[in-house]
Amino acid sequence: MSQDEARPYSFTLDPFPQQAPEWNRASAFYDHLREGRLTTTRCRTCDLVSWPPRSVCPECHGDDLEWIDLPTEGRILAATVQVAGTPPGFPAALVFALLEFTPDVRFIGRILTEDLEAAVADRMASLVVQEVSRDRVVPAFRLV
Amino acid sequence: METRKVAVVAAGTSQKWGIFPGTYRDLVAEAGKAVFDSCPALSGGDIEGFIASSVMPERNVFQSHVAPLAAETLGVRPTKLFQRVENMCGSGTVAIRNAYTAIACGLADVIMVVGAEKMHTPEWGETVLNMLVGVDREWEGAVGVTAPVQFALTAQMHMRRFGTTVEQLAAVSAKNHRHALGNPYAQFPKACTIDEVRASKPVAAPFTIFDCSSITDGAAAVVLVCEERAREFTDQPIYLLGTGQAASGFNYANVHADWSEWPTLRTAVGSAYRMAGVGPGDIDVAEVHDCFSISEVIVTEEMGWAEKGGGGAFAAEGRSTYGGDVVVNPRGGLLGCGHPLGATGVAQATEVFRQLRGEAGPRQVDGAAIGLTHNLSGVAEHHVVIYGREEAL
Repeated sequence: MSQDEARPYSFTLDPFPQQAPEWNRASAFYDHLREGRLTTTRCRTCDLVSWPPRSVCPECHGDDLEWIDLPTEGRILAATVQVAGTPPGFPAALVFALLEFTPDVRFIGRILTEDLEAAVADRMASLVVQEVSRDRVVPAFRLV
Repeated sequence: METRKVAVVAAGTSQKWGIFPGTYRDLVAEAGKAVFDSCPALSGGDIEGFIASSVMPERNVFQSHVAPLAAETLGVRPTKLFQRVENMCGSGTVAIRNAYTAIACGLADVIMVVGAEKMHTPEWGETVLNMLVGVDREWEGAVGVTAPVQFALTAQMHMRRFGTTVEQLAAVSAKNHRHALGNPYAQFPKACTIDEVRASKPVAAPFTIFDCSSITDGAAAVVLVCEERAREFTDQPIYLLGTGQAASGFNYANVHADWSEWPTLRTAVGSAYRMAGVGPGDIDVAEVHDCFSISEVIVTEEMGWAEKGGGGAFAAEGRSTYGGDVVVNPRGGLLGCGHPLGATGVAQATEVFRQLRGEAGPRQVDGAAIGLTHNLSGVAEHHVVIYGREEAL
């Protein structure tokens, strides 16, 4: 039995976001992610592409937003391997990289790799879907 | 607009930072007692305004509404201003800025700022998990990103762009642990070499455990008053000469593209220098936010003390210690003292207060007349205050 199942569920000890539409207006992001797509929102009024996804545009404050696909491959700008001090549920070692998907969209992604030295600047990494507790998904990446 | 000048008249900290043997209330009491004991003219009844700086008591001690808890503990009944401040790691300096603003505009004459954080819980895993609340939980915390990862990536970018070395990072750590030897409340006073820093337990490349500030229980408090009333409390008031603040963004990956530069810090310290009428070369002593060794490297550049890209060499060449250009982190900084989030900025102010009064004992910077504190809440949110002795007004 996983630790997850052994304890009664506690939302405030759960590191993963609620992804269902009744809890999260960006729930479509997770639906797309299950399909292997990496998406975010674009404002139909002023064309601004935002990361993270939004429900209101931070530029023009319009709320007419659409989902667009981002490239599923990103370029590593910097990488690190964390071997101590990881939170519960994230056993070390963890490889993290700052990934650039477009000139304006970057995020810090987990790189799933056995070779802890392999994630280095300028390498590319592509999306994989990582399943986590309670039927949820988070983005992760593998080196190309 | 004509504003009033504001002075710090009393300051103190809890006795030994680390794992505090007591409750959150006990921690507040210990720091408050240190302040009242240091200033016999001051009593709880003098204090008109009260600001508590505390980041995550909801998580770590299961308690909200900590401003009245702390005020009640110290026998303070605010009549002019009352609040709690939470801006993550920079909360303490934000609280001091709020107190300054209220006194400068005449809202109150005497305000106490108490920073307190009891971070250790009986469950270490829960304590570490709680640190996820300080990052973008949905988009960064959810994949396991915490501060050591964010700043390790920052270090990697600085090393790649400027050739900063792990030995230069270790020089910051060795210096601040050595400085902490002179500070009775520091959690990690230690004479260590660059080789010992490098040989300590790896955390997140390029950091070892010595490159990282720790999870710490600690508290500090200061009392600020208007110039007209400063002499009621002390013969040696220390004046707030200037302050600045700037911030951009929350989701770490998108605050700005190149984390080896901290443009919002240049904005914040530029405002503080202008307001104080001083420049980088006028600062005698500084407490800056070395949450990780790379932070002090970049801070010394953006402050104008080291050339851009030269922050590593600045530390390695001894320019940020006694006898150098400016003594950075004489109390040991966050690396040497530990980092009790909401208390850190208040403790930095306490150190500069003591240094400018000549009361810093074995860690005294000779002749220090102008001091600076810098607190950050991520690479793109910075809070700066410059203090001076009366003759600097």
